[in-house]
Amino acid sequence: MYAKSRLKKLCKHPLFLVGFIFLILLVSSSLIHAIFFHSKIPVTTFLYNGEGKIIASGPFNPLEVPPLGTDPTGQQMFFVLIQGAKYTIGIAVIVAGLRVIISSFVGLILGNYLPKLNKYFSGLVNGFYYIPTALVCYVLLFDVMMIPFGFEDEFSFVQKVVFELFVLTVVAIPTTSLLIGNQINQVYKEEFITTAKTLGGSPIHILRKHVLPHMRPRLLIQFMQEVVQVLILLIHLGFFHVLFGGTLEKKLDTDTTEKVYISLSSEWSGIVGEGFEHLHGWSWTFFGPAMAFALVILSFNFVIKGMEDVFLEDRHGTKKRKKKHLKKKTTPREPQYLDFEFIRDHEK
Amino acid sequence: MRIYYRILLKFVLTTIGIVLIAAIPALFQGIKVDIPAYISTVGTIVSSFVHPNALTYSIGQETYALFPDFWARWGYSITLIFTAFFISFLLAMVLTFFTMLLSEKVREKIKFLLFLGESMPDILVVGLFMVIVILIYKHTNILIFNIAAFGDEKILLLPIIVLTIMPTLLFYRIMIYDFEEEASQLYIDVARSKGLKKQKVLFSHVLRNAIINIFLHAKSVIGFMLSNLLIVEYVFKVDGIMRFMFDHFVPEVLMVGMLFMFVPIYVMQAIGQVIIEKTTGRQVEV
Repeated sequence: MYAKSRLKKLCKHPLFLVGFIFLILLVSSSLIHAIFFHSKIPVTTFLYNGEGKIIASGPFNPLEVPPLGTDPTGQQMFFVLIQGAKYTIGIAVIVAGLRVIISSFVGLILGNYLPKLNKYFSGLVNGFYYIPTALVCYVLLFDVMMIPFGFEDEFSFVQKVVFELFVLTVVAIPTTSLLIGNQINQVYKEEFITTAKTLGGSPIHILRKHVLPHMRPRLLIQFMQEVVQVLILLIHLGFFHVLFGGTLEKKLDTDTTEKVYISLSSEWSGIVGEGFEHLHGWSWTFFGPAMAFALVILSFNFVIKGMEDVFLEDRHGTKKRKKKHLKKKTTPREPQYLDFEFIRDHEK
Repeated sequence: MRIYYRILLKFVLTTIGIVLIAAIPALFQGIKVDIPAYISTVGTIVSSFVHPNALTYSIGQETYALFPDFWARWGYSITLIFTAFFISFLLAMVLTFFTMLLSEKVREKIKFLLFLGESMPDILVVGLFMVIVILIYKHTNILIFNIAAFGDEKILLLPIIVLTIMPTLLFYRIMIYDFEEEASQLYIDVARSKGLKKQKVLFSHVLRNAIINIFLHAKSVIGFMLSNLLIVEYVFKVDGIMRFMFDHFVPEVLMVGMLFMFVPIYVMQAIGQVIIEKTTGRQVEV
């Protein structure tokens, strides 16, 4: 019954609604495009005038071929994006789900059963803050994903997909488990847990009936945040031409050095990376997919905001002051025993 | 004494963590996991601590010594990131100060705009900037900035500007949040009711206490800036440490790169931590 009332509240949250509806529309249109139109992408290589004569050749900008122009091979960008949406969002959701599920287990073990080790573990994990995640992924994926010009593919498509999912998941496990572990630890310190223990609840019972219900909304929010992280990671990797499911390196002519990177899946990040190469001439091939990414990230952020407002508020009363305090779940603060203190007094 | 012990412990642990992370490329042979190779790589890296001058990297068939050349790249990247960090910090501070003088209604709107701005991928910002520079060049024939580095030339201005934008947004939002949190404390009401001016209260009471939390939140901004730095160095083709790590991702190079990014940043954080703990007596974690 709690869940129902919260769901109702969530459905009335304007930001949540906007984000959620946008995402649903995008994914469903992508699926409809695949099922009923067999992922067919309209191609416009030439524009003709009324007499059937060619007046221009591609790629066209968004004014010539609305709504988003065409890419160098004449495919209309809008449909390319619609087609790729389900893969991009799908990958992000799968990786984020795996990250949260695995991290919750690790975090639970770490936070609850090995609290002594936690301090050392957090020190070790600290190293991850000084290297961009995109760089770690690039290092791990480069050899597997890149198929250099003139070389045979070493691994099958499925192998590469599984390996990339694995890498994208694993790089975030240490930091995420630390975060979730700390949150679980925080819950175990609450008063009602002590009460439940005094009343004779077994550890399993406490975990199932008291800790998990408390953690569920937080994990859901964490999951959404991971989705955003994965999307950003995918853009960066696409930017470095490490594309999901493998990159095919091709040369346009035998004597030119210009390379073309071809994505083996039709996912968005590849389009962003390829578009950036043509930023000077055909800027829309970059800004179209980049804006699409920005919109998807924005709608996920809207959903997160809605969830934070609803989930983290109603359990702890509606006082604005308290809600503000709880929103900051990523950086738990030490309890402050005094309401205020003057710095000047301390210096004495 | 206890605080110095904690700082030292964290330093040692993070260094170990960095060694473990840097050896990761050896862990995978193709898509197979190769644990013996990983362990032996960790051993090699640890032994290279003793002989840092023996470290090399290779381009094609040629091998070069890592060290004397390394400092130039390192200095360049550190200049970029620290300049951008302090500019964005100060800029956000000034903006926050003026925002706090506005009414709550306007502030909510500003916060919403910041929320929108934060959702922009950093690559979009870089792309926008490059297009704007090119457009200005096309129409007025004035090249405001060099958009790519050639040879030994070092470009500073444009990378710093690009590197400043997103962290400023992040800092701005964090600061407004922390300032509001602090301004809702009771002692601010007391100060106001004693007849102190709003500016005076903000500057001498709120700022001093809020800056502690702002400092503690700065870590996430630095993490974000490092990934931004990678993109910036890649796009502007500058010869910095991130691009160096990107081009030659063997364990030794990764280790040296990460370690020398970590040390200056950690020194800054540790100094801040000591100051905070000495003045407030509160135990904090950076």
